[in-house]
Amino acid sequence: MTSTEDDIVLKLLHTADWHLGRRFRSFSEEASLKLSRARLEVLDRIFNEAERHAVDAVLCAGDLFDEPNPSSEWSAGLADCLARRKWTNRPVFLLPGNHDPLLQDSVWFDPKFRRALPAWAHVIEAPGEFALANGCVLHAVPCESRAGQLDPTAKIPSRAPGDERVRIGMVHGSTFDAPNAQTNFPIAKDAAVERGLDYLALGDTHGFRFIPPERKQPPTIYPGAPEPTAFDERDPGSVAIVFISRQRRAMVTPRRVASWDWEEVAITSMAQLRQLVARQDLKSRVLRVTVDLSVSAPELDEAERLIEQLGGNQAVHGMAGVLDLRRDRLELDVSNLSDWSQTLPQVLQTTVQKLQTVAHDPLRRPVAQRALFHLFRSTRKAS
Amino acid sequence: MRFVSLEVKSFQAIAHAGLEFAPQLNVLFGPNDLGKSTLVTALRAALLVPAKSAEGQAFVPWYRDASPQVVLVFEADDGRLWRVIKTFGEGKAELASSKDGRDYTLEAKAREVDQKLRTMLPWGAADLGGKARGGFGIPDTFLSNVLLGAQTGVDDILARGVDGDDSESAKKWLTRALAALAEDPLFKHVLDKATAELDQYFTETGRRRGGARSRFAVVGDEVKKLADELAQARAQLDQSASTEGLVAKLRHEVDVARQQLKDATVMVDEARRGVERSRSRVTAEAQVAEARAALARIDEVLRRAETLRAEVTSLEATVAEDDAALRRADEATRAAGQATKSAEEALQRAQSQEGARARELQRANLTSRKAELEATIATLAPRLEKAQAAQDSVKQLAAVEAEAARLQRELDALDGQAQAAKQGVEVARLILDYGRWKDAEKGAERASRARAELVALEQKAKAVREQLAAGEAELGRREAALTAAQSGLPSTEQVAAFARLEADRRVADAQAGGGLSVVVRPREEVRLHAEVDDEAPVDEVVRANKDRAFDAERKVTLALGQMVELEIVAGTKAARQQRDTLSKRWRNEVLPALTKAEVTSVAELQARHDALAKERSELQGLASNLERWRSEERSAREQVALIGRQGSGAESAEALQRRRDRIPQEQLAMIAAAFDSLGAGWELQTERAERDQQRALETMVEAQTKVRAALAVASERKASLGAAAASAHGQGDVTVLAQQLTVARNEQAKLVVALQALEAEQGAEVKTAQQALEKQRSLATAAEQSRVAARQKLDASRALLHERRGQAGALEAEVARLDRPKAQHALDAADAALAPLRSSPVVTPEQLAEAEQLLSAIRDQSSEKEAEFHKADGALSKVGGPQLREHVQQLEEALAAAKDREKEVELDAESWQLLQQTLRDSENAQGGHLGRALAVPLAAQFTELTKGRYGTIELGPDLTTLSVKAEGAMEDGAVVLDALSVGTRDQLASLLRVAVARQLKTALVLDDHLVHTDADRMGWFVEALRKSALAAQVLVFTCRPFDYVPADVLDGKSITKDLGGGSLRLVDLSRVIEPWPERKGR
Repeated sequence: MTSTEDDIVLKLLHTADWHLGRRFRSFSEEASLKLSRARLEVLDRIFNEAERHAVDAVLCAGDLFDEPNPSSEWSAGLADCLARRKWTNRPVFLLPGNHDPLLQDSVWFDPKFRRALPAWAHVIEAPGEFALANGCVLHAVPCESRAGQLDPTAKIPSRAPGDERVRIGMVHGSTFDAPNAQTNFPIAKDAAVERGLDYLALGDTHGFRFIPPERKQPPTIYPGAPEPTAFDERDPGSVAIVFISRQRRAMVTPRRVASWDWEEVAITSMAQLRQLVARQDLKSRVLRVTVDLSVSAPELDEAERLIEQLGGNQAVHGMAGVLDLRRDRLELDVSNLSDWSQTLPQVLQTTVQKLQTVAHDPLRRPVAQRALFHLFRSTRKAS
Repeated sequence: MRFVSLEVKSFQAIAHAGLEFAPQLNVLFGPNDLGKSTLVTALRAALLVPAKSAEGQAFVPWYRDASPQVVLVFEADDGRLWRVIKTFGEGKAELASSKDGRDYTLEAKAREVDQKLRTMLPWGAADLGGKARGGFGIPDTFLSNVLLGAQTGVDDILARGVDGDDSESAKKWLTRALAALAEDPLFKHVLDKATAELDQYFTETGRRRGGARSRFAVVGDEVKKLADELAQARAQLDQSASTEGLVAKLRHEVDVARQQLKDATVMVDEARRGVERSRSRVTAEAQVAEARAALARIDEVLRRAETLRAEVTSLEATVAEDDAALRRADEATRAAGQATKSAEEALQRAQSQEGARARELQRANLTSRKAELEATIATLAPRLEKAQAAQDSVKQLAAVEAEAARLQRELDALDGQAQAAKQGVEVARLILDYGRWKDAEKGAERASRARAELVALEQKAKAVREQLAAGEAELGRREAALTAAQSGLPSTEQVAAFARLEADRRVADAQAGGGLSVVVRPREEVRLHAEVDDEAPVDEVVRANKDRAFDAERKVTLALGQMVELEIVAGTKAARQQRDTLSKRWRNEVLPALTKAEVTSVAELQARHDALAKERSELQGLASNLERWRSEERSAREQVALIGRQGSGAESAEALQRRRDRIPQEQLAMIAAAFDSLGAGWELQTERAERDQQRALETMVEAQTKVRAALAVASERKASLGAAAASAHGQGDVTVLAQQLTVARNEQAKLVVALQALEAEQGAEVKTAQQALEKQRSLATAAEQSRVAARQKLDASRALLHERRGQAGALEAEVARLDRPKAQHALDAADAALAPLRSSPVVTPEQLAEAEQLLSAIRDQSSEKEAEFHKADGALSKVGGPQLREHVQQLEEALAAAKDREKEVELDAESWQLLQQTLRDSENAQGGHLGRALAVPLAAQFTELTKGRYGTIELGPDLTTLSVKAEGAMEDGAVVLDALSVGTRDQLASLLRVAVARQLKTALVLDDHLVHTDADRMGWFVEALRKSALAAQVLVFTCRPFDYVPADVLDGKSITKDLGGGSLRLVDLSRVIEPWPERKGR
């Protein structure tokens, strides 16, 4: 930021896409719950950032809930979180997005939720102009439906001649370069310029994005989801801290607030697996581990043990915060089992030989390998 | 497997037998030749012999032509009851299963029954294969011999092994059963682990486990739930995508419509301007046309004036020509008048006086002669007509005479025929009289015979009446007795219900049973009071740490001192409740009825009912006989009456004589011959002949009358014609008169011709003069006509000339008034005004209206598109495409993950399954030597039986018994089987059978075994059998029940007796097997 503190007329925290109440069906019930709760827990860190930067307002640009009627656990959680802040001059603007549009039966009209919100938390119920600090204004347009093909910024009036105020816009939708933008409240890339805005706060994309990427003024920003929701998201987990100067220039800084990192790891050797298990940062990781290994029986035993360490079992928590294990290419090398099978009684040696024969059939190979592995483990435990 | 019940009907020597088996040891006893072995055969047939097979024919009963039937109920290892019904001879079979022993579900029919049984009971029999073949007999396999074989085949049992079987099924079964006898501990550990893991996945019957805790269900439900959700979400997404597509399409269409509207508006404006331009052009064009017309009119007048001038000049020349022509015509007319006059004079000359007078005289002569001839002809013609009429009358008279003669001949013939008909009628009447006389004579003879028959018939009717009275009395007496016998008995339906209840009770007993083994081991001496099932209570003192065992089928009650009383009951709660309910119903419903009927069992009650039914049937037979006798008596009475009537209807001898006298004696022979030739229908035929002759006679009389009348008419006509012929006489000869008339007519014709020639001669001369005159007159007329025409033409030419000269004068005056240069100038000015307007197209008001209409339609269309677009946009805002896409993506990922988990579970389950199967296969491969496993327990028992005389038994890999070791017999102690006594071999075979059955936990049937065994070993054996029966049911068919129970137990009163708490059942087969009645009588 090049401007001095005195030049700054407006400080904002811009966030979006909290998706409170989102479920993560790919994971186990426990992991899903863990990740859902993380979305509520991140709010405190967001508001801490607001306090730390002494922002004048918090702009929450839509998709704050994952659906228009989330469980009260999430709406009450948000209201509690806000109510804990004893703010007076820091309005929070809550904008309905396409996931949580402003429908008649939506959470936004739930009296219980609304009563629980502090007075300085405003739900944007209609397109309009809202006063900000130092004569600045906010023009916000809520989503009133799940989809639409009209540019919501079209409802923001153009800057009138002679109007020198700092004008901030806040809408939720896709810029035209996004896939399927046509029906997802498409936003023109030059909307900020067209409408005479000094900063356009957007919500929808889960990664931090500067539109256009060349960082021309006035900035149009997607802050991204404060907690990631998928492995393929680019730069999620931040909020945008925005300072506006007297010259109506906006300075934008992303601040990381996420507690979870989503990471995909491919394991092709035992060494890699051992290294992974040795890492100390796994607790805050949502790990997708794809194992592509062919190992001997003892190695398989070790691999199973390491995988169990990663994911945990009924008695012990795993090392990874959440583990998504893809192990269908973890194979037992059945070609050399003689060291082990020689120690077995004759009848079990016969069994090993028979299973090895079955494993020659490509269709039955996985079953035979697993059966051999069971046999291996059972004899190991017994001995 | 254990047997539950067996019912045999019409099977070889057995008419019927029904048995219920106890779960453990069953001793089924009866004397030799009773049919015990037949029962075993029936049991074997039920399980092993296809109903259609040729072997089934051997089961046909010995004393009756009936189809043998076997109904066998057995319980499978899973507790399910199976009922086999086979009807041999008819080839029918069915297999049904039941969970409760009451309701059975059909599982297989016909050939499938045996195939299914062979699958259920893997005894080494070959599969029946594809198409039904009736030739399969009892399978000769190791297990069929061991479990069901006759004891006579001891050597077969010892000498043959399982390798001789048709299929591997028995070997596999035995292998599995015997494998557990010798397992490695580590192997056992792994196998147990695999089994335990598999148990988490599969039930005992190999089905996947269900329920909320099933591993398959957990992942399966998750996959299903996610798949359902995904399908739903995809459907929504499809709908959304479709809406999105629609919105995009409509948006494009709206843009197009807007452009079209714009274009149409421009077009209409242009059209409006075009219409204005067109109107100006039309006006200018009209002005040009008007100027051009005015100029044309002037030019026309000038042209006409010129033409008239030329025409007047031409007409003046024509008038001069016409005047000259008139003058020429006048001259020609005059010349023609002259020529006509000359012709008239010539004609007058031709018609001069002299020629005319000569021709007149000749005409007068000819006319006179013609008149004479006409008078002659007038005289001759009437005379000729009269003469010809007279000639015709003569000819007619001859014809009438000929007709009269023909009629007279006809009359004569009719007289002859009438006479013959009269005779025919008379003969027919005589034949009738003769026939009736003969009939009356025969009737008298029949009456005489009937009187004799009547006496005999009356005697027979009397006998039938007596028989009938006796029968009715007997029927009454026996019906009364039957009613009395029925009064104390329940109805047939009740008895059937009792029987069902009894069967249900047996099943319930069986289900509630199951056996109990209780061991009391007091820590210190205690007084024990025990009640085992229905046996007498036991009171005794049991010493400290001593075992006191009780075996019961259903219940054991123990009182230990004064402190504790225990009641131990077998069976599930539901089974016990069922049994108690049925017992209560038995006490309340059946027992009072049995007591009242003074019988002890439902079977007796049924027997009583059967006897009563038989009596009822006989009484029905008797009643039927009585009815027949009544019918016979009625028939006899009717015959008597008929014969009586026949006897009374005969004529007297006097009446017969009178009939005889009616026939003339001389005709008697002829009449008799005619009568005989007629045969049976003589009377009808003769009556018909009489009627026919009579009708012929009447017809002939009528014809005679008509012929006579015709004769009279002919006579009158003859007279009239004779008179006419006479009156014409004197008129002369017809031929002469005709010739005279012809001559006169010919001359008359000639005269007419002469007169005509005369007239012609005068006409020729005059005619030529007349023709010349006519010609001249015609020429004169033509000349006159030409003159008139010339005059008229001249007049017309003059008039036309006059008219044209008048017209020309008027036209010249008009020409003088016209201003052609001015008109030409006006035309040039109008053309100049029109020239700029010619380049713009003509737009009509209609075209403008059309364009406005099009604009209106496009506007409407555009509005509609806008409305559609807004509607679709509204719909899209509700379905929400982008979130749905996200949702679908999430669900797809979740489903993929769930499927991976499901796959993992499947893989795990399959791998444990494979491991277990492979372990077993390996074990089987190792334990292929079946004999090694079984030999140990078998040898132990054999040693115990023989009190150490024999030790190790060597069994072959397929359970063939190879040798036994005898104490001190040989150096290596081995003796061959042949060296053993018959009794010992029998005992060894029985032990082998028991050992196999025990290992397989399946029922064993022993038929008259151990007949060569001493009492000591027999006692040991019975105890061994009782122990073995705890694990596997044993059926012993024997004629020596005392080997199994003390003599006092066999009281000879009960059919079935359960001992030892149900561990032993005694069945008196002599009271179960019903032989054929024929056999009873032997």
